[in-house]
Amino acid sequence: MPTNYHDASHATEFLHTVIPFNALLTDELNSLAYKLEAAYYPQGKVIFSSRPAPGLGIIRKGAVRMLDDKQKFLDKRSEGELFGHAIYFHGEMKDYVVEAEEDCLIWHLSAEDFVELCNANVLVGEYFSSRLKTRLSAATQVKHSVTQVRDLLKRAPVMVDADMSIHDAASRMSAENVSSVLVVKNQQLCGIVTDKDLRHRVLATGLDPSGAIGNVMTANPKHMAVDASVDEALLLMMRENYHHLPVMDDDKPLGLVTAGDILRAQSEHPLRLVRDIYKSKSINGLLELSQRLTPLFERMVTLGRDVEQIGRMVTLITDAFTVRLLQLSEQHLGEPPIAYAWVVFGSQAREEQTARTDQDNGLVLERDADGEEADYFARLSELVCDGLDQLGYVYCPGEVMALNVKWRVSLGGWKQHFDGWINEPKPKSVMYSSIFFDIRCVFGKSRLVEDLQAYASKRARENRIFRRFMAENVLTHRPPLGFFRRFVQEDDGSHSEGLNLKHRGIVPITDLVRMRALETGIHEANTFRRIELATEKGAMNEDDASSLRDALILINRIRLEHQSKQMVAGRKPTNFVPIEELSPLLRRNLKAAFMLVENAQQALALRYQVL
Amino acid sequence: MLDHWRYQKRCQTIAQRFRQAGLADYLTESAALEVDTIANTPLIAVDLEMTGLDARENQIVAIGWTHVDGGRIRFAANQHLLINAGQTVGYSAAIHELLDSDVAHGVALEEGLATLFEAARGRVWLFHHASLDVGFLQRASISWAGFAMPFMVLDTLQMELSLRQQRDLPVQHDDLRLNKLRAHYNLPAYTAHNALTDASSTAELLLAIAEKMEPATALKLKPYLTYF
Repeated sequence: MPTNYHDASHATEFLHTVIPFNALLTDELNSLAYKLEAAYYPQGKVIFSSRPAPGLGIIRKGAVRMLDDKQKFLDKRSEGELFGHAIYFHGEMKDYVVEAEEDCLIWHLSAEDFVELCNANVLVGEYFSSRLKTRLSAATQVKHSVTQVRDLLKRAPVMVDADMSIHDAASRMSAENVSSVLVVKNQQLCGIVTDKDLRHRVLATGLDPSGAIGNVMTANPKHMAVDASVDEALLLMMRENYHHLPVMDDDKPLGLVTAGDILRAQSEHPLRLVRDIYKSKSINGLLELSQRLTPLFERMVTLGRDVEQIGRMVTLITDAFTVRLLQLSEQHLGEPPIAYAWVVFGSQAREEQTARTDQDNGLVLERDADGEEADYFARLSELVCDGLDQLGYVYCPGEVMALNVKWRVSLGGWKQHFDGWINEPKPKSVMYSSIFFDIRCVFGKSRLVEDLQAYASKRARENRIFRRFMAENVLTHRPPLGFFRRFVQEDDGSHSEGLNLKHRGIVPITDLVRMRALETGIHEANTFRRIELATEKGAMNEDDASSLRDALILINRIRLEHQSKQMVAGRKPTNFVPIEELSPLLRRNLKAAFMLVENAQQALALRYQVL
Repeated sequence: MLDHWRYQKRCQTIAQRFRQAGLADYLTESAALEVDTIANTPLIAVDLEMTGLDARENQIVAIGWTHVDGGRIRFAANQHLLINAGQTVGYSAAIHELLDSDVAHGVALEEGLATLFEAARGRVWLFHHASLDVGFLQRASISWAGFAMPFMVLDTLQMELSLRQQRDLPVQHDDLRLNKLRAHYNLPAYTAHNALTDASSTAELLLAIAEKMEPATALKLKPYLTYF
């Protein structure tokens, strides 16, 4: 519960479910909520008619309809949806007026605040900046992604002769399981017939099916050249309201594309997936949604968004799956007998995931659970951890999971865990510390976690010996500078042909920054924000901060680009980058980044007198 | 009309007697307030959480409020204050979910009232079921300022009641509870129950009721004012 606060928590809670605001952090949501104004509109009332719109409207309750300047209906929007921004109606951007379709409560964001928000947050800005265009142009920048209609062709076209009977043509369509056929005369395309044509022009009019198919076809259909861009095809379809387009190589029909093919290829916005996850009603529904993950990751990585945003986006999706599993499990098991918090560790806690990884999680209970209560949480953990495993977030090999009774204890129990590690720093406890100090609550009573963080942070700050052990551990992952002199290989047998950018580049930086967080009592887990906070607190100077930040971004970008290439080639992404794959410039930059890391490590070694 | 005149006099008289800066301003501005439609009358929607229902026995543990300006609820004015009443919240914790340990972080009642009355300057008060909350606030103001603060309020419960009486609509037991009424007006159900969400809820309800009472033109608020 709060102490005294300016608050819009009921607003942030709701905004969290609204695309694209679900990409914002709680702090950002709070400052957005602070700028909102609520108004009530009874059914039929005009909400705005002026152009440009006086800002953004968020439908908190009820529904609105949009009309064009001739009062023609364009679209309807309801709870959790937005209006006021540029909207494409059937591929065309139009001005529109908005009126209440039902009694509704609207949250208004002024035009200035809206622009400011878009400028301040890339994800949100990108979402609103004429969305369709961005998506298409982003797709064209990527070599492997679908840019030409050629890439959409799946099979040779089903063709029938213009003289064939309607009946035979229809049988052929059924046999081939297609919804349209191309009609040819003398090997030349002369028409197209779709399911809809058969319905409208044959069945509905009682036409004799023994007549020629040529009589019911759409003659001389518009078509696309095989090297035309997907954008052009989509535009043509939207302009002419076609659903099927023949694709030609000069005069030769190569196949057909449908509007559905194109839309599927233009894969979705990740935030839409997040929302669908929250709406999903069962584990099966979630499983289905998890199928969409891999293409989505590929797209995000290949589109070269910035590393920090990718981390946040991917983690947002993992969080959504986790929370939804918890909600569904609670529905199944009934109300939890005591308050608890579901916590995550490692990269999920740091919001730095770039792919589906192992799960690392635990449960913090309000107090020690008695027999029946303990059973409840055992079953809850089983449902959630098993669910995550099924969704592809496989069991943690080190068993850092709520499934393990050791990591399913009361707040007091957790404090004892931390006491143990901090008081008796052994190799194992140092390893645990580096996992468990990156902690974040994703569901439940977050105050339990705040309490635990404050406690652990205080203990770690008080105990220099413990921190010295941690420092020693940080120094075990050295950046591979020697690598650049001689092509030293990693010891790991399976990947002997590359540089492990994760263990030799990213982990050392994350570890270094965690040390700073421990020293200065920063409760944030994200590495970038830890750097920011440490700088604010004066524990890091601006130079060191930007060095580490740049190094992390560079190393991560190289890793992601490499993984993207692997995925394009249909291989499983790894963290090993063969040095010869890098351009001389990249090699030099990478070496510079490693040297920055080494400098920071040396500074740490000096500080704790470890060698 | 007479009520309004009497209210103004009272505010002016007390304002002269009590030179406490903030309070005198509140009273003077309150006396001079023009009350017209929601669109041009600034409002402050308020809700309290108490340890019980008896203003003589029980105490305020939380105050939440928000502003309505130009017919819109401004989230920027949202405020939630916990009050350290020095009395145990006892069984009331079950209702407002505030524990003694929460309330211990709160501000002193005097400080809370000062902040509240500062925020209420130049505004008409808005409550749902005003008599209960105003009773507590007046009681508190006696020990704080030495007199029972005059209040000019709108009460969504009373407004809905008169709407139903005008239209000969039945009023069932429970019908006028805040959440029941909100559902009736297609307003969202808020799960969290605290003084601030209830204050915001009341403000939203007022906007809805006003539209229903006077669909064609803007509702004049003056006939619905109550004076304490």
